[in-house]
Amino acid sequence: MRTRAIAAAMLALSVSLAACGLGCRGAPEDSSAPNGSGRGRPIRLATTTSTENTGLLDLLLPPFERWWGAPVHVIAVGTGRALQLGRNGDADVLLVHAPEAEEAFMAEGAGVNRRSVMFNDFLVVGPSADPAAVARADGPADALARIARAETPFVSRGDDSGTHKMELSLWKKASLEPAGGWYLEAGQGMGATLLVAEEKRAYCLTDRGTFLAMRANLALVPLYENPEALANHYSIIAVNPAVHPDTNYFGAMALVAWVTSPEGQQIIGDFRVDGEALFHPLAVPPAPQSALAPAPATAP
Amino acid sequence: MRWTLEQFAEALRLLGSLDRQVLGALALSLGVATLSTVLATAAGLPIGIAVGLARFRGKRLLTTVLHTLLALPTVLIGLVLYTALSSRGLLGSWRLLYTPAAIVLGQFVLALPLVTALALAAAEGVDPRVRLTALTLGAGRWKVARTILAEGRGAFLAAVVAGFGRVFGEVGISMMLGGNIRGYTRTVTTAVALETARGEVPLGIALGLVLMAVALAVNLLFLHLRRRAAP
Amino acid sequence: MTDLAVEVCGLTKDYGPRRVLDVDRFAVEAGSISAVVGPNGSGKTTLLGILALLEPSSAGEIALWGEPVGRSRAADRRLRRRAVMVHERPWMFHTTVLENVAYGPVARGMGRAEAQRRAAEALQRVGLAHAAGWPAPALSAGEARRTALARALAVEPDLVLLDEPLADLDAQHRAAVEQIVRELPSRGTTVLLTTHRLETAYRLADRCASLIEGRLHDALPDNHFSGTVAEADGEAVMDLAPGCRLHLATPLRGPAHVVVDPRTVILSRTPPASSARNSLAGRIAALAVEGDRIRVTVDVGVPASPRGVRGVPIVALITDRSLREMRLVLNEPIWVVFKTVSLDVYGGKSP
Repeated sequence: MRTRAIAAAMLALSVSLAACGLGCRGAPEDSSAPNGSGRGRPIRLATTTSTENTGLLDLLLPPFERWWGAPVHVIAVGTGRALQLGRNGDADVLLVHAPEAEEAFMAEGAGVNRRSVMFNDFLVVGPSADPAAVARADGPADALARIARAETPFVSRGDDSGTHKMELSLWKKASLEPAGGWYLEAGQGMGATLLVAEEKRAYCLTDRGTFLAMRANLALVPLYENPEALANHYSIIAVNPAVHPDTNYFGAMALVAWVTSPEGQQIIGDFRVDGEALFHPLAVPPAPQSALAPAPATAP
Repeated sequence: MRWTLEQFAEALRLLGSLDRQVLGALALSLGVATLSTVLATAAGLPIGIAVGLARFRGKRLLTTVLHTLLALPTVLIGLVLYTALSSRGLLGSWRLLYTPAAIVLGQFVLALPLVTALALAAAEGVDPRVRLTALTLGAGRWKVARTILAEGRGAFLAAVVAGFGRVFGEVGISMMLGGNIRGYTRTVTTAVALETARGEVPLGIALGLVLMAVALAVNLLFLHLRRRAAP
Repeated sequence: MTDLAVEVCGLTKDYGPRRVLDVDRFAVEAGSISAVVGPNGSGKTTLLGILALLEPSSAGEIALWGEPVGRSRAADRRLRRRAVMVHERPWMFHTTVLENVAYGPVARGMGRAEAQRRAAEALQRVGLAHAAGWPAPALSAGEARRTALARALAVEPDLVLLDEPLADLDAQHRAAVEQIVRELPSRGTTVLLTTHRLETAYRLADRCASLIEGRLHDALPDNHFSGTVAEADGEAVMDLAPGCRLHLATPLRGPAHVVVDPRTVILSRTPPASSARNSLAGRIAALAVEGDRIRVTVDVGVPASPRGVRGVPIVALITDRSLREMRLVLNEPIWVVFKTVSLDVYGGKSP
């Protein structure tokens, strides 16, 4: 009986260790130089749920990983949290979309080499019946104001993310403080928030990328679009190695290079759902004609 | 109703095609749960038996504290450990955050009070004559403990099973300490959370069913062990 | 002065407000067999448990082989290992009978093979060699008891504490166990056993004491009988043997012990006509001088003749003068007489 018990315990232990090995590739080596072996030091990318939910990263990262020879570990949290991870040194590189917060981040000296990557826009989506007549709004702030006046349900991210910050700026512009039973704060990622809105047949401010990726599962329709006023900018920032010396700086910079390279940008531009482009590449500005939004390119 | 059934049907269809990622997530879930349960058992059983057999002032208080720890939410454990494991945290230099090892650590913390509390109850539940007989026949402290373990093996095994069950299906710790990184720290439970957030209900259900199937298999194994153990 | 294996002074044990043991003095000589007689609930098991160092006393001093108990944990551990207690309802470990019996030797550091050899030997002695491979929890009460005894034998301790060693055993096995117990001193083991049956104590022990409601009496009370209080014609009676019926004045029924003070027993050549309801015929079995008294032991319930058949021994204490005046002689038929109210009844239940 005793030998049985010991044997069982050892079996359990070896199974668990083996399983861990199976499940966890990317045991870090110290080398952070490209060696094509696929076992280089992992790069921790903190990004927003909107980016991950669209599936863009599934296309964008594997070619990089093959080239660089190390895996990218994607940690998808809200923009606010991603920036916090950057401040703490728990991530090596950030892909976020909240320009003001990013600028504060850079001003603190927490990040280096901020580059524009892509943009899309936000939309206000809602039930097709459109009880608050949002479709007739004459500005994004007005759209939200109509919702507030009609007190129709509205689901907010409520999680300090880029989308949430945009929404708050709009309320501010409309000089309104949303409160009441109609204003619901989901506190979750974009996909989950959209599902809540779907369930409640409520309005919601969402980025186009996530919306398009989830459209098949939603009955909500776009009601107010204004690509200029509701531009949504994505930037990539490397965590400052002077602040956190043991982050994977070279890996981070390599990823920045990839994402802003013509190949990377091509992948971004080619990414479509149902024939619609979710993101518009921004890092390599076209010949100075009609850029839809200004590109705050910082010199590397 | 119809929509619900459709989702399940789709889930079963998905199960048919064994995705490599799903297998990886499954292996990871199983691996971290097993490892953390083994560690929690190694620590919790001896402590539980020792406290259960002992008589001292404040034993009731200690037991109450232990039972209170059972109510610790996984997200709270995840949060506290995150602050410790973060780069800036106390144990930052260990670089454990967002690795499977961090999940094992968190799940160990989750399972430990449970295994200990149940082992304590099991030790107290063993007939008092066992201890007296062992003592009078000349057993030292360790042998008495081993004898108690052997005589109450059903209850002690149940403690281990409970510990495993608790960690196998949890998501808060895996999410906060693992980061749900695809191919690295994505367990079945965090994958379900992700797919649900994406609205991919059938896939979420499929993953959930896989999880429960494995849990059933593990528990059948435990049942088999119990049968062999109890004469 | 012979060595004392056990020496107790002022021992008490309280469970909350209840004092379950109050032993002023008690001693067991090394190499002897001692018995403590008492009804169930009198504290016998507690006493053994304390002497086996399995539970603590509330107060008092205990010395084992001259060494005081309670000096240090290490010393107590050493002392505890020199004794083995066999419980009244022994716990059988969830393994084979052989493994159970080998437990003691293994726990004390003996090699497995040697321990099993010892265990097999012990099982042989208690008549359970054939059961070596059986699962111990499945044993009958009697088999379990013998296995527990074998567990103790396998250890060969200096002191064995047996709680009701003969209960649950049929006649054949009882004889075997009695034989084992009698042999123990020759192997250097001191025996202290408890029983609720006087006959057991008489047959096995060199020294007896009685424990009633926690108090120890150094000698067995004479005229201490155990039986069942039944009802006959609306009266409480206890039949100790055919021809020996005690009439009691008690409302209690069921298994009980009765004690008659020998000083209240009257001897008479003829069945007296008196208010005393207990008049029993017997024959004088022994006459002994005790200080300034004569101790007369009468075998009651035995018809006049075959020698060697023993009845219920009832003791009367009379004066030397009474003996001479009555000219009492061994084997003479005699009547013993005593009142119902001079019987003390312990145990039993209210109906």
